[in-house]
Amino acid sequence: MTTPRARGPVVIIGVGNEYRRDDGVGPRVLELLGDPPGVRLAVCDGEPARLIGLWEDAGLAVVVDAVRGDRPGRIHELDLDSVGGHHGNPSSHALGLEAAVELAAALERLPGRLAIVAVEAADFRLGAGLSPPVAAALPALAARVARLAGVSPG
Amino acid sequence: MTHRNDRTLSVGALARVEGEGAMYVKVTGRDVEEVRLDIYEPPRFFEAMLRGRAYTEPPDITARICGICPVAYQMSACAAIEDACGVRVEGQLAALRRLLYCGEWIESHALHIYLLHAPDFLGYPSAVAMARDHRAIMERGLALKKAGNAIVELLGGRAIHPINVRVGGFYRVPARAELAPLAATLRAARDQALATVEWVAGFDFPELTLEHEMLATSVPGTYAIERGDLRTGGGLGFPVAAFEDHVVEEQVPHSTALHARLDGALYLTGPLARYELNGQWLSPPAREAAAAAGLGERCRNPFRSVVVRAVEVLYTVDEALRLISAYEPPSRPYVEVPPRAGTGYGVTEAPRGTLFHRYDLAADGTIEAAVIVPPTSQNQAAIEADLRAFVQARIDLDDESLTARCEQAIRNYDPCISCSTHFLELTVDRR
Repeated sequence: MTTPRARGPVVIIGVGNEYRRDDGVGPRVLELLGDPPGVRLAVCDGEPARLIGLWEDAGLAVVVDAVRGDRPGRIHELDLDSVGGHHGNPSSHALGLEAAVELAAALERLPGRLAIVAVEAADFRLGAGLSPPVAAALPALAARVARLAGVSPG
Repeated sequence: MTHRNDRTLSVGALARVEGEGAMYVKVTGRDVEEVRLDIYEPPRFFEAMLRGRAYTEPPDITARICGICPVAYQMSACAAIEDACGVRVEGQLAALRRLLYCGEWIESHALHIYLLHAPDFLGYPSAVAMARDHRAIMERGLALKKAGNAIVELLGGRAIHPINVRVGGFYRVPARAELAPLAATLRAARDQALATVEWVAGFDFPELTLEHEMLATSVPGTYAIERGDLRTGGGLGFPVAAFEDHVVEEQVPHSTALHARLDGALYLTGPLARYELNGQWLSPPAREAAAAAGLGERCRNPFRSVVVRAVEVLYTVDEALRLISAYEPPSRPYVEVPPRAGTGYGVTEAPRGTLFHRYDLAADGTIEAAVIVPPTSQNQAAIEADLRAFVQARIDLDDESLTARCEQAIRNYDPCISCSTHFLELTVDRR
């Protein structure tokens, strides 16, 4: 499913809400990346139609999101083949990334290539600021996203 | 001998950024004993966070409460703060606010109709499954939603958490020419909106009749959205400053959530209330579409709220086109709003219902108290009462069918939690 297609822009999408603690990790990574040339950065709440709108014309989309897990701060790299079709939803957004990927596939609106970087979160409660293990994972997370998008971290 | 049959439908923890909730239905024998909807209430956190902040901050901060209706939070916040400061925003700035709000309605309603509610009516487990069989329809829904996005992005700065809105108006207002492409998009969206009304009118609607009181924002002569006072189905009208005298949140047994009552009665806000109270002021094309869809002067079946939402999409597309064609850029993007000590009230119509804000300001504009009453918590008691009647009338359905029907019924009210595709988890406890 990850067949590259004609060149298109590179977009990095940070999914999440900065007022839901670790859920804000996606937007926080974008802040760390600064303003890399030739790359579009977007914050998204994970709503599928918006995600599709952000990536449908992209040659490469790198999506960074928080997921539920038992080892906060652990980073996962997923591609199209490892998302979708699961019974449980790994994303922190119930109607989120997985639904977006499946809907985009059904409508042929996936980006040329899709890379998902997920970090296991400890705390999705209301409030600002990341939990210590997720905050500690930020540099590695930003570096991973930057490498996938072909940019140097800001 | 009577076989005692206890069934418990419980809703597992919901993972959703905009709100989390749970639903619990307990059936004993053939009687619904208890229906409880627990809704996580983000506004309490934001109310606390706003205390001590500057009066200019609520539009930005409260926009983060909901990714689906940030404009609603911004508009109610601006209305309340400007009220506290004794400033009224009029003319083209007010028109631009209404245009921005139309964008949010189109976006939110299209999402709800196509991605959340239609799959229920058509018997699909999800929007993805529906899209596989009805690709053209899903494409139409996404195109419609994108037209709403385009308005919010142009006026709000970006589609989620719009950053161009400020107390007194906007940081920047568009030139006339910038609105031209938007008008072209909206003319296409108009056909899609009309087709949406015709499409949803053909769904099968389960029987359910509401007897609740209705509450909506009101501006006589206008289908109220971005400002107004309050009006009820019983004919009572009151100014926004009296909202907290009429709407009282009470502690109820079996629930940690507060239940809102309107003068002691169960009530509903949202599309059905707006249509009943303000429907006469819909545009003629929207009224015609509503009549052709079989809506009548009022609609008391909550399952038909999907039709009302579709009519409201058509209306807001038309209204956005009207506002764009009448647009003349204001000389300044905002009016000055000097702070003063006082209390201000604001109410607007979020896509899912009436959204109330109150702010108490110190003389320098520091926020001393903030109160936010969102539509979902106002509707909670009515939703529970409706589900109780709904489940009771379908007590013989098996658990799986009943669960699916309950999910569909909850989505009638478009609560924040409705973004979760599946939130009923059935546990059967038979004794």
